[in-house]
Amino acid sequence: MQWHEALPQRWTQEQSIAAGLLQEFEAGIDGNGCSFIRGAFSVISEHGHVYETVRLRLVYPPTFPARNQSPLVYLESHRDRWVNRGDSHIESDWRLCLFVPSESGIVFDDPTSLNDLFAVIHTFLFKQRIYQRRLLQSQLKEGKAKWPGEDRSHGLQGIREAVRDSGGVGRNDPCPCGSGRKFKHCHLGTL
Amino acid sequence: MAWNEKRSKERVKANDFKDFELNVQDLSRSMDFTNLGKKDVRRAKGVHLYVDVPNFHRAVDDAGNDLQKQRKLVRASSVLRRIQGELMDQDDVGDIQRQTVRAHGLVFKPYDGDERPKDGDRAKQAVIHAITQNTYVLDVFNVVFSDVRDFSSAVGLSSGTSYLANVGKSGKRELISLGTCANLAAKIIGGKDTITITSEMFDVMPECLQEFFAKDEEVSGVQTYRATGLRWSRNPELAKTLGVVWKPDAWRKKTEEHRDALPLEEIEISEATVLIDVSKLSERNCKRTAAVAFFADLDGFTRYVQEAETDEKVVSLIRQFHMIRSEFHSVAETDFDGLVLQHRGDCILGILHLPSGQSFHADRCQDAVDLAIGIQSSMEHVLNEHLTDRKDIHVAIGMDVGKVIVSRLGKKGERITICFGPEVTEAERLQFISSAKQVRISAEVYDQLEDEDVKDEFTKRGSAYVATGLTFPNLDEKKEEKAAESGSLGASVSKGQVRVTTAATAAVRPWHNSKPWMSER
Repeated sequence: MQWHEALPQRWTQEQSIAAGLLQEFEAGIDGNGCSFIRGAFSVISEHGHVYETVRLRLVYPPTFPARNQSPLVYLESHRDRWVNRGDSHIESDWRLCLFVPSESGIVFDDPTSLNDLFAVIHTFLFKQRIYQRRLLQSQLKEGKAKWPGEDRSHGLQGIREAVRDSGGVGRNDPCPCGSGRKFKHCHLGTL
Repeated sequence: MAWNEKRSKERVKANDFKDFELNVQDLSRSMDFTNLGKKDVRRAKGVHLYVDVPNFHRAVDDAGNDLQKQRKLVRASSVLRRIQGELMDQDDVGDIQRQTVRAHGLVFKPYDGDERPKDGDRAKQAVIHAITQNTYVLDVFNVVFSDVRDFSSAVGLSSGTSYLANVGKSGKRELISLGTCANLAAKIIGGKDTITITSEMFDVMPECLQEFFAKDEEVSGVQTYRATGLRWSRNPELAKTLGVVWKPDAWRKKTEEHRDALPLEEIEISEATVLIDVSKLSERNCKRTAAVAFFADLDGFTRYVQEAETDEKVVSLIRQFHMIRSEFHSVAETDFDGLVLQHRGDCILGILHLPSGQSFHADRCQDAVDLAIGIQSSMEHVLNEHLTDRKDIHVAIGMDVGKVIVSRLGKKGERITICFGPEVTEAERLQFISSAKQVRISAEVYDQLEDEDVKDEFTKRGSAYVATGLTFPNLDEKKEEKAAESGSLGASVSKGQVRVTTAATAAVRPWHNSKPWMSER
């Protein structure tokens, strides 16, 4: 049974939060049976100026919110304007790499956790906008674009940094990679 | 409360005056423009006249913080304002606005039988009135009011077509005139005992008056002529030639009567500790407060009105003016605890005096500068989007901080809120020398600013500081990019609202600034 069938009230609440934040909001179940939310999200300034409006699709893992797994966030717009390479922290399938899962600081068991996820997405997209601008400038100057502020290295190195900064992970704790498996059954060996 | 673009857009959309019916008519002999309704606009051909006391700021300086001297100044100003009105009435000069000691009138008579204006006769009438105003202040008023510094007096006159509209709320009369000739009359005012006119007026004036005027400087591309020391007392022959009978004794008696009707002990000047309710003010009940005074002027608007070729365009511009004015009021009074006190054509005068008390001096200055940035933001990012004919109307703002006195003079329905203090005069000067999109603040205001990012936007120019193109969206982007680099940029989301912070710390939640990662190369 998918999580949205097991926890219908929570699924309703997720939709309610998203409907307040997304224009052209839609929610449904995709071909794989996964619940999803989509719509246009505005990146605004402190005083409400809209910098950018992007279309997002959030896909929930089947066992959400077990093992603190985060919904996956995909960028549906801007694919013609932004690039998903270099240090953009956007995967080849346009999934946003918002954080090393263990570092999100979000407790997905909390029924209002979607607010926190959107807060992360907002800051990420503001930085992404700067990064994409820098990328464009660097292409003109043949330089390398730098992500604004601190970020994690890609792949295993990023997980290693997160484990190091957290002071270590217990063998039976969820793996920092976000797989939902125990650390000892996932990345303990490779790290 | 602070400025917010979304809120500003909602306000402007809800209050865009799109369906506001306006009725433009020529101002004719039989019309009385003092009773204009909110929907009436009059196209007025005539001579605009500004009478001013150029050294008034010095009289304000003299009063300083001395309550008794301030009372004397309030009384003198009140009486001068009354007599200015009576003189205008006597000479059939239309009363557009009488500010503290500056009066703005319009000479739009006589007309000939075909309702066509007589330019030469009106120029003559306007100069005669100007001589009367100067003669009154210098020969009569100063004698009666020996307890304040001698007031100087000067007049500026300029002819042409302008539009008169009433912007007063709920039946109150607050006339504004839009047109370059009206602005020019104020701009060309000279020093003590002068009358300054434009070449257009000089050319149609009778010779007996022309001989008193000498060519002076060019102002806004217009040649001016100036007469100095032209008073009835010094030129009785001229008065005789023009058929003017000047009765100084009668005016002296009237002035004394007005003075005696307002005993100093009846003028109460109290400290404002809460937001001033201007509807409760009168010449007997004035408020004194530490405040930041601001002048915000629409750059280019008057020129567009002047260039408008059809009534439809004029109506469209005046609707836009109402929309802009209404939004500026909202920024000043809703987004910040400011007070809009007066309209002078397309310029507004306001103050911000809260929070009250000496310990909040820096807060007031910071709030006032934020208010100025809010007005610039509304103009550049919201209002210009709504301007159908023009998208290039900008605003220039001047500000200074100090002790001001706020009062309300005049009769019921025609009351005008006045505000004076040396820093009010300085704020007006700072606005006057500013260009479009600029905010110009005194060093005193600048020194109190706590927000370093805002401070960085200002550059020293002379004794003041200027920022150009300073709006919240522009400032936010810079601040937020800096915060993104330093790791202090964060956001929180609640009830469908995203709130961005540039001062986030890991210890203060909710905020989120997680480090992005990439699961694959």
